[in-house]
Amino acid sequence: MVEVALKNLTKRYGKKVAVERLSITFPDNSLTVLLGPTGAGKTTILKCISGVLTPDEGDILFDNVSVLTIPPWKRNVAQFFQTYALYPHLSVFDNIAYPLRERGLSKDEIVRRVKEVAEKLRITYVLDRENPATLSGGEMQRVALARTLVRDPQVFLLDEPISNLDAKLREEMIYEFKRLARELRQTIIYATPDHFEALAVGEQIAIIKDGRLVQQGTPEDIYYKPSNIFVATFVGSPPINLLEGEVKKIDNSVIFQGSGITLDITDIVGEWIKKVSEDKVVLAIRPEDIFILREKQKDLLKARALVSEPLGHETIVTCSLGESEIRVTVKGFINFNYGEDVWIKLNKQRIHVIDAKTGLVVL
Amino acid sequence: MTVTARIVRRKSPVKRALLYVAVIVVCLIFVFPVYWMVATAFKTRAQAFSWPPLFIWEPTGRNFIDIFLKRQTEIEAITGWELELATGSEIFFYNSLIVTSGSIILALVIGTLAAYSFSRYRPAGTDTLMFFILSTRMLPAIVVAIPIYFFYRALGLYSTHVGLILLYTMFNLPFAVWMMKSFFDEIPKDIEHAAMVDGTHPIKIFYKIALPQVLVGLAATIGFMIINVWNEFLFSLLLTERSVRTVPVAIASTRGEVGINWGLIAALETLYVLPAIILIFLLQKYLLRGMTFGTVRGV
Amino acid sequence: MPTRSINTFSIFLIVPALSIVFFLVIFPLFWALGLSFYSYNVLRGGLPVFIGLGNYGKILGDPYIWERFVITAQFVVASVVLEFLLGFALALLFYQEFKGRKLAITLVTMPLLIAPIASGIFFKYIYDATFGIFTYVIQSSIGVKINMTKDYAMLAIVLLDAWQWTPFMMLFILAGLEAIPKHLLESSEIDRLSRFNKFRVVIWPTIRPLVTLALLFRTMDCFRTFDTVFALTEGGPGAQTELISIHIYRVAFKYFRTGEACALAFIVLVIIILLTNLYLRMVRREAS
Repeated sequence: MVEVALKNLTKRYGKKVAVERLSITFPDNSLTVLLGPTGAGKTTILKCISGVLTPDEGDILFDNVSVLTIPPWKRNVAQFFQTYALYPHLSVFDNIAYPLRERGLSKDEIVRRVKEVAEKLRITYVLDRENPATLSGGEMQRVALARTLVRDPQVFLLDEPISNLDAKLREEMIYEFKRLARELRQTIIYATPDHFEALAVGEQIAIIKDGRLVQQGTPEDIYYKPSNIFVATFVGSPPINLLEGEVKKIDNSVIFQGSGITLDITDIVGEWIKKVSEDKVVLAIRPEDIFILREKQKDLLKARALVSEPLGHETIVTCSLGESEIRVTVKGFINFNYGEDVWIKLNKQRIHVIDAKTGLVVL
Repeated sequence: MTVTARIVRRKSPVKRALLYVAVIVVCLIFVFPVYWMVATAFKTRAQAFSWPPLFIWEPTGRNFIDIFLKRQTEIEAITGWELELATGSEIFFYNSLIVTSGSIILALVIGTLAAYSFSRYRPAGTDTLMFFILSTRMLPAIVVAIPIYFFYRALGLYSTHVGLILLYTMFNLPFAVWMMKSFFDEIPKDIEHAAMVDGTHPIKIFYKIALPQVLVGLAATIGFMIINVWNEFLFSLLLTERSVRTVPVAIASTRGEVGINWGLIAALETLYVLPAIILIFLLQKYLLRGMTFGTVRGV
Repeated sequence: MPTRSINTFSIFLIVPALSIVFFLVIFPLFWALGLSFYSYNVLRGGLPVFIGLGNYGKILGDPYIWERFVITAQFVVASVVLEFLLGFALALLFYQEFKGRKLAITLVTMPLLIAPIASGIFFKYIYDATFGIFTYVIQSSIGVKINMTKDYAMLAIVLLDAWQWTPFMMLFILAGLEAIPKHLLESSEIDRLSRFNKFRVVIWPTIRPLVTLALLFRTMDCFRTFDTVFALTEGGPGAQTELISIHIYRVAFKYFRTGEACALAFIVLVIIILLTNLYLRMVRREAS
């Protein structure tokens, strides 16, 4: 139940910099997701927080008190490892009970807590297994999870806790986590490369790339207000559409031109109009913010439908618009013929304008 | 996880027969001298000296009894003096056992501690130190034997169990350090990290988490050490007197009044090699595994 | 993690090992080095006399010593080559699957367990011209009565060394063979590689490090051979099989010319270090 803050955290592996001057605050009593591609530095960050790794520079604070000099066995942090790290010479029960025994809890209390957490994770049936190596992947993962959750620490660190489970089990676990998070009322830091998980589970999301913090906010912030092109394309499936081009000021209008299309974006530009010069930009718009019609209507852009992928509740249609390809999400089962002419309308309120040079979203 | 692959091809019966013949011939060549030695152990003096050599004879167990009874004379290997033996050969077996097991235990303890440090903490100069420890095996024994002879006499370690154990520990140390380090290297770091986060102090991590996982490695290491030290001759020759002498030296100094009593020598070595054979047979699987560590990475 | 206490802990763990190495290897080595610059004879009595490089000069100028080196080199080369070829052939033989394989391997590795001093002594019996079984077998098959230890001493010790240590080579190479990943062998079968190519492309690269290691170990050990030869021939007849190790032993503990023995031992040490370095460099070059 502590607030964890990292200040200018830097960690190097030889010449390679894993984490660089990272400052981030994880609010207490909430579940913050560390979202980032593989190799972004998420594991390094978690291991610095638990104390297993010592940062080269920077500070780590629990409730504003530095914990750098406190060794991991005294920091009272629970960590789930991506590799599970089960103790191979102990039985399943002893694995889960291990941290409790190290803390000297009474035998009855230990049995009670282990059984409790085993039931929650539905692994009671493997508790008496002598050799953890004989468990299936999913079982191992849940045993490791149980070992983490059986404790009552200041902070929970979860490093890709459900990444290796099959799809069905993952769905179940995502639900469980959401529920657990609400029940536990602890500070939880959850690392994953999967943006689905992040959006579903997180109360706060912090996006990490190449050891740096890119954006931190609520799931809505991340999804609807990405701060740069990386966040915009990383989160969301199918990924956001990108149209490269230029912005020109003609009389009092701001016109976007590129990728074979021309779009008047005067009405959404607002304040930004003052800074407009002949800039190269990228327009970004999500597939669900595009409307597609079979009949021609005024003010609509002409496109050609290519491939339709029905998913059940919606269909993803890939269209060629001008010189680029975009994807549009349509509700229900729709099947367009290959090459069929369609007309699309972009929801202008949802368009993001991205400066092509800096990659920052300006709108 | 390694899957041992072997050539299993359907062979023509001729090839198969040839294979077995080759195997039998090879086995004969290597086993025969050993067999001959064991056989000689059951021969009397006269039978051992007969010509043509006896392949069929009436065996006697006399030699095995004799080596434990008082023996008449014994010629000191170095100085050529004649000495009278106060006891039978059991003292030699006893000494060998003490010295071998003592040095193995000591080398294991000291070596495993060092190996753990080299593996997990990599103190400065790890690579150099490890190579240096290995290179002590390169030394011709005689280079170190001369100064140690004087050294030991000066320190009162001459002809003591402690002295010999310390020396043999030094012989076993490279095995312990190198082999145990490679076994420690194989433990995933995350397991120790998990134990740390779960509240375990590094010292406890060593004996509660790391050690249990390398027990297999201990078996292999012990196997190699036994081969290394059980049969050592030169240093035992130089640094021991009769009361501390080990069996290999006793074998060398077994000369009777008239010529060499081959039956006695054969009996001594037959008895001496038995424990080694049994142990190696038991540890066979581990020894093969221990040899491939670090040099070949299987899938 | 607090680094200072971890550092002391890690050093504390290696101190016992390093102390043993120091007291039983480094310290005596330097003592021996020092002693090699003196003329000292225990039997003669009196104090050691400093003669600088006198011992070294005497040794390097002595043709008898050079002869020792030549004989030792002959022995090492002959033994190691023989053991390598035989060991390789045996490893290939035992690489195949057949009934009783495990037993056969146990039998073949028996020579390794016999104390070298014991096998040396016992081969004296086996080689004996009057009642040795070896002599008998030769006589029965070829009809010649030979005296191994007198007429063919060098051959005798090389054969003895090969008998004792070929299993060592075989084990190493076999271990290497067994570690070849199965899928590599299978794909070479599918690709219909010729036997030769299969060996060249799949087998040899994998076992090369172990073969190199085995050769290195065996060569170093062979250079230091003492027990077997000492027991079998005591360096004779004459000085035909007096290896350098036996000679040093004589000088040190028979004639007690301690200073000289130390100098000789050091020369041998330097040679071994050079050889090993050369060897490792050759191997490294081959690898790149």
